[in-house]
Amino acid sequence: MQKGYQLFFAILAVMVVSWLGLVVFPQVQLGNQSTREVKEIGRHYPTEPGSLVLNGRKVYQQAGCVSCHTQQIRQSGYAFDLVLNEVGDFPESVAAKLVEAGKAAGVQVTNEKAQEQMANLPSTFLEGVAFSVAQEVLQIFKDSGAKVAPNILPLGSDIERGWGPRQTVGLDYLYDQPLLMGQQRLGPDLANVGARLNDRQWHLKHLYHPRSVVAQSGMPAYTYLFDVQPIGEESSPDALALEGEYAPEEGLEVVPKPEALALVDYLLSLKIENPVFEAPYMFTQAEPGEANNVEMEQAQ
Amino acid sequence: MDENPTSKSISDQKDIDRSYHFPTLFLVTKAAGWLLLSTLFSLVASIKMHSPTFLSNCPWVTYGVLVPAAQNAFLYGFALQAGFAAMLWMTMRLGQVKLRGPGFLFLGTVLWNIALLVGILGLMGGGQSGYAFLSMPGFVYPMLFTAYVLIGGMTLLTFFKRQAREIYPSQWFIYASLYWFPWMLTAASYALFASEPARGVAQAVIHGWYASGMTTIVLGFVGIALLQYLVPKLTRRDLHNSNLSAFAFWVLLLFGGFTGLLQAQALPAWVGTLSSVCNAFVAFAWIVLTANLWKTLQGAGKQNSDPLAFNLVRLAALCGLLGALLNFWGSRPGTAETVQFTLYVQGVYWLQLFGFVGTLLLVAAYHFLPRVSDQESALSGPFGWKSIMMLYATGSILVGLVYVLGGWKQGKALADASRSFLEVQSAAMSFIRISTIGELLVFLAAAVLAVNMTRSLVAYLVGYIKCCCNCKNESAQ
Repeated sequence: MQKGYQLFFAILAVMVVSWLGLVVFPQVQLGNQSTREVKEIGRHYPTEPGSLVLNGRKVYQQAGCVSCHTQQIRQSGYAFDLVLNEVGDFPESVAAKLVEAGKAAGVQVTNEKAQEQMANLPSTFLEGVAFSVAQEVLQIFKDSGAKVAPNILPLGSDIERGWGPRQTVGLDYLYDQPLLMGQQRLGPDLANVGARLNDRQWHLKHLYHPRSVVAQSGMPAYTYLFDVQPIGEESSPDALALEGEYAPEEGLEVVPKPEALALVDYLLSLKIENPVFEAPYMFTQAEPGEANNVEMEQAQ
Repeated sequence: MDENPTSKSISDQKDIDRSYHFPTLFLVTKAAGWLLLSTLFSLVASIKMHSPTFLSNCPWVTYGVLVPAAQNAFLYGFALQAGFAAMLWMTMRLGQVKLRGPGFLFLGTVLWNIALLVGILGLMGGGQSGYAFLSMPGFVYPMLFTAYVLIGGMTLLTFFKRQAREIYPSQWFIYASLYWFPWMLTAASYALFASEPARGVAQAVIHGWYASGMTTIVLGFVGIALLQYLVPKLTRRDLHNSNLSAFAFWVLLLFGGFTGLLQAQALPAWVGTLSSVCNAFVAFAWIVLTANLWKTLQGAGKQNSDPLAFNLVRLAALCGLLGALLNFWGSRPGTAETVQFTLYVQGVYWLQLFGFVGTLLLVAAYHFLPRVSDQESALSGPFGWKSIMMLYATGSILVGLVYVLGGWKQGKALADASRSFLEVQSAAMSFIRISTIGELLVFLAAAVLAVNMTRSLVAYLVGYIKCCCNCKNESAQ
C-alpha cells in the first residue's frame, strides 16, 4: 500500500460499507415505523404529543436533562402466573391436573388446595414460573376442558424499582425528535415518570429545589425556571407551597415561569401504560388519576 | 522511518520546518484555549454535583449544558485542532515537503474557530441538539465542514506533493482519519438535522455510528499515528514490524466504526450484537499494535532522548489499550447490563480521548513546536511543558480510572432493586467527588498551556511585525 490513490479507494470502500450499514440500513429498517392499534387500550399507540408537551420537551432538551436521566426501561426476561378461569365439565380430572401442575413447578399442591382453587375462580394457581414450566403446565391442561391462561410478568431491576411495567421498545420513541433516550443515570429513569409520579406540585417543587421534596437529592436546582415575586392582593394560584428553609421570605412567593409549567407538562406526559406486541405484560386498565405515588419520598 | 533526509541539506530541512511554524503555532494556541474552556466547564459541572444550588439561577450553566459544552469544546476545539497540527507536522516530516496553501489553512482555522464559538454559544444559549458528540445546533455543522475542507484539503494537498513517496504506517492512519471525518460529519448531520431527519430509534444508531467513528477512527487514528511516529523517534529505532501495523490498521478501519452503538433494548438486537463483536476485533487490533510497539521499545530505555516524553508516550499507549479492552469488556453480554447507563462509559471516554489521544497530542506539540520555530521551547521552567504534561496525564488517568471503578460500583447498585435509587446515586457521587481532583489537575495544565501558548503566539506576531518593519525601512533606505 505505497500509493496514495490505493489508500484513498480502500478507505472509501470501507467508509461506504460503514455508512450503508449504520446510516442507510437503520433508516430502511426502522424509519418507516408507524402507529399501531393496541387492542388492550382500544386505540392507536403512540399518540402525537400536543404543543404544550412539545414546548416542555424543548425545555428538557435545552436544560440538558438527558445528561443525567435515561428514558429507557430495561427488562431481563419474563416470568408467568398461571390462572384457572374455568373448570369445565370434568372437575375431578382438573383437580388431578392441578396437583400434577404443582409437581411440574416444584410446588406441593394437595387435592384440598386444588378443590379450593377451583371454587374461587379466576384463581392464580402458580406464580412467577419460568417459560418452560408454563409451557409444560399448559400442555398438562390441554384437552382437560378447563380454561387456563398465562399472565406475563416482565422481570428486571428497572421493573422491580417500579420505573415501568415493561421494557421500552422502538415504537415508544416514534415521535421523539430529537431522540432523548439518554445514556447515563445520575438521576432515575423517566420513561414512565408521568404515570408513577403524577403530582404537578411535587414536580414543580422538585425543580425549584430538589431537596425540598427529596432530602438527600443530588440533583441541581433549576431556580431560573421560577420567579420570586412580592405577593399581590392575592397569592398566585401557581405559587409553590414551600416550607422551612426552602420557603421564600415573608411577603414573597415562588411562581413557576411558563417554561417550568411546560417542562412539568412534558414530564407528566411520559408514560408507558400499555403492552405492545414486542413487550407484552399483564395489563389492567388503571382508574383515572390512579398512580403509584408511594415512592415519591424516595424517588426524585 | 525515512524522515531524516540524506538527500536534503539541513538548511532545506529548516526551510521546510519553518513553513509550518505559524499554522501549527496558531492551531495549537487555539486548541489550548478550547482545552482551558472545556476543562473549566467540566470543573464547574463537577462542582454543581457537590453543591446543587451553585449557579442555579443561570440557564447557561446547568449541569446538562456544561457537560456537552465541555465535551464539544474538547473534541472540536482541542483534540481536532491539535490533531490537525500534529497531522501537518507528520505529513511534512514524513513526506519532506513544504506546506501548501498556508493562507487557506489559516482561513480554515479562523473559520473553524468562529463556527465552534457560535456552536458552543448556541448550545449554551438553549440550542443544544440532545445528541452527545453532536450537541451544537445543527446549523453549525456546514460551517465546520467548510472550514474542514480548507484545513484537511491543504493537509491532503501537501501529502500529494510529498517528495518521499514511500508511505509510512503513521500516514495510513492520518489519511484514514482525514477522509473519514468529513464523510461522517456530513452523513450524520444530514441524517439528524435535515428538514426530514431520521425518525425514532434510527437516530440512536446513526448517532452511535458518529460517536464511535469519532472516538475510534477520527481521533483514535490521530493518536495511533502519533504513537507510531513518536516511539521510533524517541527511541531512535525503526518500527518493529510494519506488517503488524497494516493488520491493525485494516482491522480498526473495518470494525472501529461499529463499536459504540447503544446496547438498548429498544433497538434491534443486531445493533448491540454487532457492536459487541466489533469491540472484540478492535481490542485484538490494539493488542497487536501494543505488541508491535513493545517490541520496538524493548531495550530502548537507555537510548531514549527524552525520558519524560518517552514515559508519557508509554502511558498514553497503555491508556489506549486499556480503553479498548474496557470497551470490549463493557459491551460483553453479562457485563453490558451492569455498566450500561453508568459512569463506566464516561471513564472509558476519558481514558481513550483524554488519556490516550490528549496526552499524545501534548507530547507531539512539545516535540514539534521547538523544531518548527527553530529555537528552544519558550515553555521551559517550572511552569513549562513538563509540568503541563505531568498535570494533564495524571488528572486524565485519575478521572478515567475513578469513573470506571465508580461506574462498576454504580452499576452493581443499580442492578440490585432492593437498594433505593438514593443509595445508587450516593455510590456514584462519592466517585464524582474524587474525580473533581483529576479535573482540577487537567484544568491547571490547560491554564498553564493556554497562557504559555498565547505568549508564544504574541511573541511570534511581534517578531513578525518587527521583521516586516525592518524590511520596509531597509528597502526605503
